[in-house]
Amino acid sequence: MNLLLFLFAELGVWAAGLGVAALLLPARPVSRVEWMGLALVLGSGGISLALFALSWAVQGGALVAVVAVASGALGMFGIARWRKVRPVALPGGAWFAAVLAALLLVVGWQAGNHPLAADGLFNFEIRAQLAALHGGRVPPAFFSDPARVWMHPNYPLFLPLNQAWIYLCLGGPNQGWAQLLSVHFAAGAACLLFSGVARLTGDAWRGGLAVGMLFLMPAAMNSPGGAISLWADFPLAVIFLGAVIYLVEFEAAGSGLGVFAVLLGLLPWVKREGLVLAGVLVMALLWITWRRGKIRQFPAAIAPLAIVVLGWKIFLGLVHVSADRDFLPVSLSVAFGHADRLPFVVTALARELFAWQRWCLLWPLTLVAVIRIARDPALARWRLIAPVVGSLLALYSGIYIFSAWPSLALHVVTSLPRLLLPVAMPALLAVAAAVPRWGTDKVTK
Amino acid sequence: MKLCVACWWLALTAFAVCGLLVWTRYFAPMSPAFQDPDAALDALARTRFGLEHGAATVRRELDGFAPEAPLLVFGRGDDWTLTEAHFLISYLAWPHPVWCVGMGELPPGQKAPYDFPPPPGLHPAALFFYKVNLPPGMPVRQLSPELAMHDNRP
Repeated sequence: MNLLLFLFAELGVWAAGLGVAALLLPARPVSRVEWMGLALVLGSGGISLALFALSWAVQGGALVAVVAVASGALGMFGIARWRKVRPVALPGGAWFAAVLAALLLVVGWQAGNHPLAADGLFNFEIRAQLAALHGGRVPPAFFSDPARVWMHPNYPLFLPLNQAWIYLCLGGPNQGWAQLLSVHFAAGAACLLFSGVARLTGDAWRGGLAVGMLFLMPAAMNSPGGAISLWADFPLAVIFLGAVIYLVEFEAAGSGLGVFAVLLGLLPWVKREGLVLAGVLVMALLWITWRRGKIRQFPAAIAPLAIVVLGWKIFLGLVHVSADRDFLPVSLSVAFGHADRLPFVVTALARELFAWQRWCLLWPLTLVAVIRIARDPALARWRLIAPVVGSLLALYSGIYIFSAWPSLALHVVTSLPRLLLPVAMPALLAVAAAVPRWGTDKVTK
Repeated sequence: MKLCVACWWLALTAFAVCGLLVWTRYFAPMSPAFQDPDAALDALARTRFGLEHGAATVRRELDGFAPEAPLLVFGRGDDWTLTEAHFLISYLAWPHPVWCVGMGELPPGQKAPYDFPPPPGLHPAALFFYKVNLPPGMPVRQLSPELAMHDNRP
């Protein structure tokens, strides 16, 4: 019975995402894999935002019914558009689907064998549990409880409300089934990566290579913060991956801005760090729109981001959120006063980039790929990845200047590897795009 | 050019080998525990407290307490597992405010790194003792080898 209810919950997410994707799809042939990836990612965003907004008006079974009907309506719209547009088949798409099914089976199996822990349990799943026990709404008392400041009450609710949706459909909290959301996000990442790389390079094998690297990279799968652990880091990385893919497409072909804008808006809804990722992408978009003479599109593209950021800030004010103790107030005096931390942080970052147990050889390969992309005019569309990755590495190093933890080393060791996970997504894109074709002198299309 | 291509694919092969090595160490072949509603909480209670069905046990112990009654966890302030013990009890005790006091000898002026002390004047309704010696003569319920509880209500 629980399996059927879980599938009903997943169907609701997928249907909502199908409809939202249908509204945003660029005016070009769209593959089934791309549509599927967008449905999974946008559906998660849609369901979490719908629960957050509607749970103040209706709760419990009524909330589930309202959200299910809305998802169903979006799904019908998506299917109608699907029939009209007729998605194209990607070369190698059938192989991709078969291999992905096997990989997801392993991810799901291992997710069931590695229970939620640490941040996944105490920062995210507890909100889902509380929401499910209070009819779908995280009780306002949670956000202002001084005894639970360590649960980071100002963290946004994307992942917890996706888990809460499963709990509401199941009729109560169930951590075993919630763990299967790992499969959902892993599938979303794989579909976006395969379709994005195949579309933008013209080579399906590069898409397969990127997906293979994703599933083999421990930081993305089985390290803390990876897909299986079900912390918010992996969903954040998936949405950032999608945003970067559509930004590259916008720069190369002028399409995909609508999808980019919505994914950009979702970033700070997944995790606070999403604001840093979004900030870097906003700067990149500003540069691209200015260079292409399309600066008028810029305000509309960042509108969803502004709405989410302001909306969440207003909400936190209304519930009198308890102050976070992780970081000192950002000011020049604090920055200069703690500048002596930088050598330690930079050393830790360098050590982390070479930690093969988490990243395999991703970062050295990224460096080579970035050089290749800079030198080869055929790879020009990927050139924005280097500044995006570089500025994020610099920003994430600099953020520890403001750490309020008694032990800076502990703060760095426990968070830096996870901060790098979203940054690894454009790095994967760069490697997949730059790797030379085997057995021929032709480098890339 | 061919050497360059070979180096790329060699590096990608090394990437795959590194990934597979970590996967083989991580892979757990047993059956998944999808049916346990408290799978994560029970697993952590087993690891930290040596307590089977820990989620249900702790919830049951707190059943008779007023929801707003504060609770206090005692443990060794230099033991990082105190953090998880405190977090776990706090999770299970919602909506009780749960605070944590680190004990043990620390250099003068140094704060225990793994505690979360209450504001002054707190009167806890229950005390939990995690991996510390119990105060002599205090009546406690030993919930597991690592966890004891004292009902502090008047």
